[in-house]
Amino acid sequence: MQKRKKGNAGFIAGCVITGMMLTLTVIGFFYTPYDPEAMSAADKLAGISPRHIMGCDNFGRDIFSRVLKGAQTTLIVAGGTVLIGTVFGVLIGAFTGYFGGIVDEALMRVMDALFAFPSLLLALVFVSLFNSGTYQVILALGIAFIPSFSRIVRSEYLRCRNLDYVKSARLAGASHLRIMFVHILPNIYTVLLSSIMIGFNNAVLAEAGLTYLGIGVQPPDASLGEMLSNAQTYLFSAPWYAFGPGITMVLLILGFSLMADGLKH
Amino acid sequence: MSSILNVKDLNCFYKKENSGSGGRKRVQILHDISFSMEEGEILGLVGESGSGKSTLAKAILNMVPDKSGTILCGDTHPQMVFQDPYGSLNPAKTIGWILEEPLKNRSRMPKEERREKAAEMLSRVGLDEKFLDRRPGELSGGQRQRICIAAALMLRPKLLIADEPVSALDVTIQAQVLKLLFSLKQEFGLSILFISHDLRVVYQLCERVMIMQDGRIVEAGESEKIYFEPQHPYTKRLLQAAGILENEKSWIEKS
Amino acid sequence: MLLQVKNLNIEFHDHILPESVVSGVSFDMDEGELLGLVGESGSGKSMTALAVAGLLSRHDMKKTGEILFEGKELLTCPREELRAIQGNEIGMIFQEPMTSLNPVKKIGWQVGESLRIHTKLSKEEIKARVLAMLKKVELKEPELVYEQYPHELSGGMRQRVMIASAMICRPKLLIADEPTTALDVTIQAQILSLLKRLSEKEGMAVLFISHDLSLVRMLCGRVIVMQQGRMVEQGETEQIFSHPSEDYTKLLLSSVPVCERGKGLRFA
Repeated sequence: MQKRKKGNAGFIAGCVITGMMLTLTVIGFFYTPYDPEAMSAADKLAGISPRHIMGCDNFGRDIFSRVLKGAQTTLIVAGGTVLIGTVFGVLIGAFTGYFGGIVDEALMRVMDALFAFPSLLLALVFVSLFNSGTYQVILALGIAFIPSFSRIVRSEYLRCRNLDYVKSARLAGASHLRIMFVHILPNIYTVLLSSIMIGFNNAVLAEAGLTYLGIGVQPPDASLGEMLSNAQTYLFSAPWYAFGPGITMVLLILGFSLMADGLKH
Repeated sequence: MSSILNVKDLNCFYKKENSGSGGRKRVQILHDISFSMEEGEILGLVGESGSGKSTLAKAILNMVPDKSGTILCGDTHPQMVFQDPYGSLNPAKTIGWILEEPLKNRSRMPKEERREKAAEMLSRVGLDEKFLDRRPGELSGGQRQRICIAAALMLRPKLLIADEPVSALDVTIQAQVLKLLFSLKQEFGLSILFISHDLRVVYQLCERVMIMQDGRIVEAGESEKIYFEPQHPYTKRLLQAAGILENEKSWIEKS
Repeated sequence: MLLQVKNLNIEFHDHILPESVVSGVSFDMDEGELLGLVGESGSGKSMTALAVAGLLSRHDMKKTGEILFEGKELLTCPREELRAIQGNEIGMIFQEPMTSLNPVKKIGWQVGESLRIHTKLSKEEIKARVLAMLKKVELKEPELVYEQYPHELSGGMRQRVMIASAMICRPKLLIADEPTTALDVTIQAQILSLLKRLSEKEGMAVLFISHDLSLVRMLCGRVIVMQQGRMVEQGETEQIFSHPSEDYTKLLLSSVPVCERGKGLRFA
């Protein structure tokens, strides 16, 4: 594993970019140059300057401070979404793939049904049922992500369950649960990790999409999607408004894409 | 000597998807198999692909759901060594972990003791202690097969089923692994059911041999008798094909 | 002299450090000769065969030395000339008869393929030659097999089809790379005796590559023993089997199970 990563320039670049973004986000918890919610009429749509390195928005709030906070929200939403998708995806995929039979058939048809809805639509339905807000968005997107994860995990378990080392493990007295999660799971880490990275990107985009539609993260909470959707109005009069959150989102996605790609090799 | 394994009137079936009608057909794989194995014996089981020899192994290990007849085994947990040394070791685990795994499942041995036992078993199969921290990917085919044997012996089984254990190995390595199997049999008083398609390998290792064709045992007995005074036409055909029954060069010129 | 290999070296170049897989291999083959090439995995026997067949990539492999086929140098000859020799004068069969046949094409089409490439025969002539060839490899119902797909045939039948398609252009040399390793013993015997008969009837030389010494002993008059890319020993089969001079050959021979009365239970 360690050896394979070496010499993989794309993977290293991905790690560096992601590392940088994560560091910035963590810094945002403790320090922002300005209060991200403090408005100031004087600085309304102020341009890029040494005082405001990404400029100010239509309420005169410092964009850099808001990007730091917004990246946090976005990462939390994406992380939570992927966590829900992975945990349930692995559980469902492992059981259906390993045991097969009628349970597999039934669960996979449910997954197909879920899969048939675009994740955004599913989230829309969910949010309209239970109010909008950060946690609702996480839950909605998380559920929408379960089918794709469980499919990937299931096909890996299908491949592994007939291998001789699984039979040996049976003979050595390992229980089905132990075989599923101690013997087989480590063998699908690479596949799982790269789909987590891709899932992460999709979650970032889905969050932005939901917020853009006005049903995601609610003001005054900042998120990259929410900022981008506001910036759209001022795209010509104040292009720097979109520049800050836009470049942050591009870097976030690029970092994870490069890492996911590097993991495959 | 008492018997370690007694199989009587064993019939095995499995369900085959019928490609045409979409229904399922129950196909009989094994027909009225009866034999017994003495303690400390290496019994050879010879057959070509599709003869049902691997199904018989699975049946003894209780891995075939649809069967009738009786299997009396003197060992509660018989173990098995598989043909493909690349598929039978978990690539994600260290050798130490693989060797300790059976003890984790079936005993409450403390960690240090397990590690000690694993190291001890490694030296018994002729490998150095430093292999404990390596992974299967770093090992050659012969070394892997030694590890498989070691892992199978960790629980000190009385019966070991070896399904084509040397078929995937080079000849020189093959000889080493066979030698190891024999010495382990002496040391642990193991009984080994040795499954192979290779008549020559079986002749080196087994006192008694059974010949299988299409799910039936067509002939069984002392190796010397079976190999040089075969009664059944199929046995004769096998022996001729392998160049054992007649002068090694003659069959190819004749046929 | 049909084939002369002189001081053949093959190096892999797709790694940072060049890796030598075959070094200093030299041998000759006469017309109609059955020559065995024996070695364990990693001995370079298959690489040598692929080089002779002209099937090694020119990009990531560096080959030095000479391979003369009927006096023509194969390593340096232009691609077009090499293509004319491949399949036409040198045929090759592989270990796995399932993967070396195209699963979606009918047997008749596949066997006739090299005739379509190398000759200008009409459709009817090609079909007649294919059917004759299928008969020659002793397939019971050539007309039926002609219309079948690979998955409808057994392993032994597939290997017969492979031999037929390798021999359809009447090659002077057939390279057989472990042709019976994937087959059951009884089928193995049939395929080997078929190869021997065909070689005698057609005057075709066979370069027989195998890890199985007893097979080589039964089939070949002369044998080359290889180990880790080098030639260890070559000579008359009986000579080498009864009086091996190199240590490795001795080890190899002693590893082969002996099957003579009263010599069982070798390890007891």
